[in-house]
Parts: sequence; C-alpha cells; structure tokens
Amino acid sequence: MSNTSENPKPSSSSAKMTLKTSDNELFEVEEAVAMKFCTVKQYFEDEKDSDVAARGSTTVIPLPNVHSAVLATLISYGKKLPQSNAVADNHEEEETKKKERKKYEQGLLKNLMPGELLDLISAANYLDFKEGLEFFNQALADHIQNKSVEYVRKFFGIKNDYEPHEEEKYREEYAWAFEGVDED
Amino acid sequence: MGQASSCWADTAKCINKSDDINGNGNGNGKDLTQTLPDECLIYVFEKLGCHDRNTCSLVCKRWQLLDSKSRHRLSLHALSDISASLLQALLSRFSSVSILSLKCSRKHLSIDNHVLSLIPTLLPSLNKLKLRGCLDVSDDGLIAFSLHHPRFLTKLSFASCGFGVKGLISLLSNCHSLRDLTLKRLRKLDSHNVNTLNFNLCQIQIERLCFKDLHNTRLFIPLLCSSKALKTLVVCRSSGNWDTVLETSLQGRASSIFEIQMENVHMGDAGLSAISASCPDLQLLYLNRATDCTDSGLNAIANSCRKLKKLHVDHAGSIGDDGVLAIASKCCQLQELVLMGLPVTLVSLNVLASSCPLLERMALCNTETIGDSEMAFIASKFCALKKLCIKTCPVSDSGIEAVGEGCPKLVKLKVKRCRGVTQKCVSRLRLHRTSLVVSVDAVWPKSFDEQGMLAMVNETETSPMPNTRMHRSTRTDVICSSRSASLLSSNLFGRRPN
Repeated sequence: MSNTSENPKPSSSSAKMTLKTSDNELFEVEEAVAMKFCTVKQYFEDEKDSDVAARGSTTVIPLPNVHSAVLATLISYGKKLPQSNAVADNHEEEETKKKERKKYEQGLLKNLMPGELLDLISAANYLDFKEGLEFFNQALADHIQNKSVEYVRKFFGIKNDYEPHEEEKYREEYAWAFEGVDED
Repeated sequence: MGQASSCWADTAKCINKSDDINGNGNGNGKDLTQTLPDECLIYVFEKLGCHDRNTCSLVCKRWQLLDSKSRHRLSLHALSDISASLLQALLSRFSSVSILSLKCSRKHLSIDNHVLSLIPTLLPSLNKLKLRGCLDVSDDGLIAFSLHHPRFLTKLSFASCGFGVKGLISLLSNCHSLRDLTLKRLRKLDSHNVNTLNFNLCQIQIERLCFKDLHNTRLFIPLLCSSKALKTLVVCRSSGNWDTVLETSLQGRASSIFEIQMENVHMGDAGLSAISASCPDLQLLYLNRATDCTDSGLNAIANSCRKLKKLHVDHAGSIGDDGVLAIASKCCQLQELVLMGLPVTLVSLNVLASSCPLLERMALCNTETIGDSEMAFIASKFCALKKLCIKTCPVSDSGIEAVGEGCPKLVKLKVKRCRGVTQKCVSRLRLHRTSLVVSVDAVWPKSFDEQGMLAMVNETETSPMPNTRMHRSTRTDVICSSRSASLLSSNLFGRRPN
C-alpha cells in the first residue's frame, strides 16, 4: 500500500480536495472520489455554507481516525468504482471495466492481513463510504462462512469468555432447535 | 501496520494446519476486533446464514450479544420439547426477531397453546409468523394469541394446524395489522358446518389471501366479501365450486384485486365473468387446471381487464387459440405469457406480435402446434422478447437457428424435451449469440421402445382432480404436472408465488 500523496494533474477538470490523515499525511483527491466518503461530503457541504467557503479548494479536511495506509487503499478502491459523473459507456467498455475491477478486488484481498481488513472496515465506517463498507464486510463474511468457532477465534485473536457449560448449552440449543434460514 | 508476517491466505493455512498455535494466526495474541465498531460486526453478521450466525454467536459474549440483538429471522423446530421456559429464553435472547417460523413434523407432538400465546409478549416486533404441522395448536391457543393484539403482525401462514373457525374469527377480529394470510390443510376448518357460521367482520384490511388444500370453500365467502382491500387471491387444490364463491363475493363491487391465481380448482366461465366484471385493475391471472374454462370466459377477461400484464394458462378447461387471440388483441400491456397444453397458432401469435409490444417473457409448452415455422415467426416478429421457453413441442434445429437469427433482445432461451433439437445446433447457437444464455436438457435418445415411452408418460402425468379433461394426450405428447409447469415458469421468470 502506498504512503505517498497523489500528484495533482494540472489539466484536470474536476475539483480536488485535500484530506489529512491521523499521521499527518496529506492526500489530494478528486472531488468525485472524495464525495463517496459521505463524512467528507458532509464536512465539505458544511464548509461551503459557512463563510470560510471562499478558501475554495485549499480546504484541508482532517481525518483523525484514519491512518494514511488505510486511506490510500480506500481512495484507490473508490477510484475503481463507476463514477457518477462519468459518461455512460457502451456495453463492451462496461464489461471490460467490470473485469478490471474484479481483478483489482481479488488482488487487493489476496494480500490483506486480517488486522488490515478490520482497519479498512473501521475506516470505511467512519468515512461512511458505503461501497467500501459493503465490499470489505462482504470479504470478511465470505471468510467467516463455514468456518468453525475455534477457527474464527484464532483468526481474530478473540478470547473465549464463555464458561464451558454455557457454551455447551448454546451448542445444544442450536443443534436441535434451530432449523436454518426459512424461505418465506 | 507493518506486520511483516505472511499474508491472509497463509495465515488461514497456518491455523488450519496446526493446533499448537497457542492463540492466534496473526501472531500478536490480541483481539483484533476490539476496535471494530458494533455496527460493523452486525453488518457482517447480516451477510451470513443461520448456521454461520450461530457459529459467530459462540465465539465470545460480545459477538453473541450483537448477533442476538440483530437477528431478525428465526426458524425453529416446534417440538413439544420446546417447553415454555426454553422458548421464553430463546425469544428473550432474540427479541428483535420479526420473522418467526415454527415447524413440526406430523410424527411429533407439536408446541401447545400456552407456548403460542406467549409469543406476542416475547416478540413485540413480530412481523411474520409461520406455523407448520402444529397440530396441538387449537382454537384456544389462537384466541389467546390474538387477544394480545400484536401491533406489527402483518403476515401469518398456517399449515396443518389444529385450530378451526373460532380461532380464525378471533384472529381476524383482533389482529388489525394483518395484511397477508395463508391457510393450508386445516382439517378442523374443513369439518365446520357452514350454516352455523357467523362472521361479523367489518374491518378486515387483508390484502393477500391464500387458500391451499382446503375443502370447505363456502366458509370463505363471508371472508372474501369482507376483504374490501384485497389485492391478491391465490387458491390451490381446494375443492368446491369456485364459480359460486367468486360470483357471490365479487358481486356488484369494483374490487381492487390485481392478482388472481387459481390452480387445480373447479372453476369455469362464470368465475371468469365474475372476475372480469369486478376486477378492472387485474394485472396477473394464472389459470392452472381450472377445469371448466373456455375461450368465451377468457374473452370476457380480455374485454374488461385491459391492464393485464401476466397470463398463465395451463391445461385450463378447453381454452384455446381463440382465447389467446382475444387477449392478444385487447391486452396491449401484456409482458409475460405462459401457455401449456394450449393449441396456440400463428393466428394469435401474429396478433401478439403486433399488439403486445411489451411482451418480454413467453413460454409455450406441450402443444403440437408450435413447430419450426412458428419459431421462425417468433424470431422475426417478437422484437421485445427477452426470455423464451419451449417445452415438449415438435421444434427442431431449424427452429432454434431461426431464433438465433432473430429476437434481437433475447437474453435467455430454454428448450426442454424437444426431440428435434440437437446438441450441435445448441453449441452453434451459443457461439453465434454470446450474450444469450441457452439452457437445453438432455436430448432424447434416437430410439426408444414403447415401454419406455409409456413409462415416461405415466411418470409425468398426474391427475389431482377427477372428471377433468386433462387426460387429453396424443401418443407423442407428454403432459407435465402442474407443479413442474410452475417450476418451469418459476425457473425462467423468477420466484414461484406461494
């Protein structure tokens, strides 16, 4: 994951915003991408209303809960998403973009440590980044699926705080009382 | 960050490999999820099925608390072993459950009235309740349940339970939020003497009624009459004269019903006329083995129900090409058409093509009248068609090729039991139209003996109702049962309505 800020494109038509992370790194991000972080969007809109709006694109938005490494990944993911202001692609271009995104997503998950994934989820939650939240939570759910209780504990380093008889009681209940998801 | 150890996949491998990792594959020994906000964990749980959620709730107490708080669906074996105290404990833990299903097999004693009556207090947010095989639930139980006036209960489904009319009336009188009611196989209702019925129901706001395997149909006339807000009516395998029921309950009023499904019932043109007279907003009509319907009845529907979007006719009386023609000429908003055992010809196909520009989904099954020339016609004229299913028709490779050359918007093609279609042709079609999903079942063997043919006919033919005209079959026709017919359409067009 990259720790450097983005290089501004001089001829870019979209506005840029600057985000400052918990470790004081500055990220210059295109507005279209930054607006996917609803927390940022809210901050930006509040700023616009106030009389400091005149400062324009030099506003620096502080993100004290997000580390630079995490933000870099989230920005990079955000850029791969279909942009709302983009010109509609034809069917083929759309298919190609979809495939590229899938490849990127697989690559992203492959090299991810469990702790890193959780940091991404926390950050996406703080930033109110819906697509990121959905993607990373799904990745986590996919990983937990069909695993045993012991595996999940070990994987996340969670200590079992049940008394043995408590745990046994719940296991029994699940075994004979629960039928599984019922189709309506 | 900065953990230099192996990546995620390797971590997982380590955990799977050895048990002597004391604690954690991530190497630190601390709970990584501690800083994860509760709502994120809940978000993850909501993506998991019941079994995995159970696993998660056993991980630690925090996870259990979050899972319990956020579980909305619960499906339990409703055996009598579930004592009141256990159910109480379970439902207290999962107090946010809004959808509860309690199932019991007929071999076991089911939950009793006392347990049922506790449910509204234990689950105040209950939205939907389903009971299956709870034979020990009787009128008293249902009365006690309904007297809690569960505020958010909108959907109820009962199958094979032990209550009768008294319980039903109490339910309808006291559960004012009820909008969707399904009643299936309720023997005590069947045996009720209709003449002593006293429904005093002025305030029923029910929007969906479903009756299955019930045999005291006249019981429901007052119920239907009182359901002024009814939008959907589903009737399946319920004996009695449904012409009378429909005529009496729909008489003289403009009803808001927009969906009617009649399956395996005695019903004819009188019923269809009653529907056409009262349901101008009808959008969906399924006539699956509605025994006595004719073209004249369907014509009445065509004249009055101009908003019709979906029509399924499956071996319904003697409805034929003329009926389809009437629909085609008058119901220009038609989107979905399923015809089985109906001799549809180019005459009505022609009108369908020219007058129903929104027709996107069509299935034609079990008729000798659909062959290659009809397929060629469909290919060239049905420009809006997205999904097409052909089953047990004398269509061959040239018909399929024609479809490949036409139907510009076609996304899915299903071909079943059409002997003349070869695998080679299908492969060619797949190559030619890459965005088209083609589903073909195994091609029939070239030669089969008469025994084999008879066996095949016997196994697929079903006759749920006596004295019907369903046994019309030629030597080469194989009649599919109504259930498989629905399965066919449901696989193609989406979920089967229940």
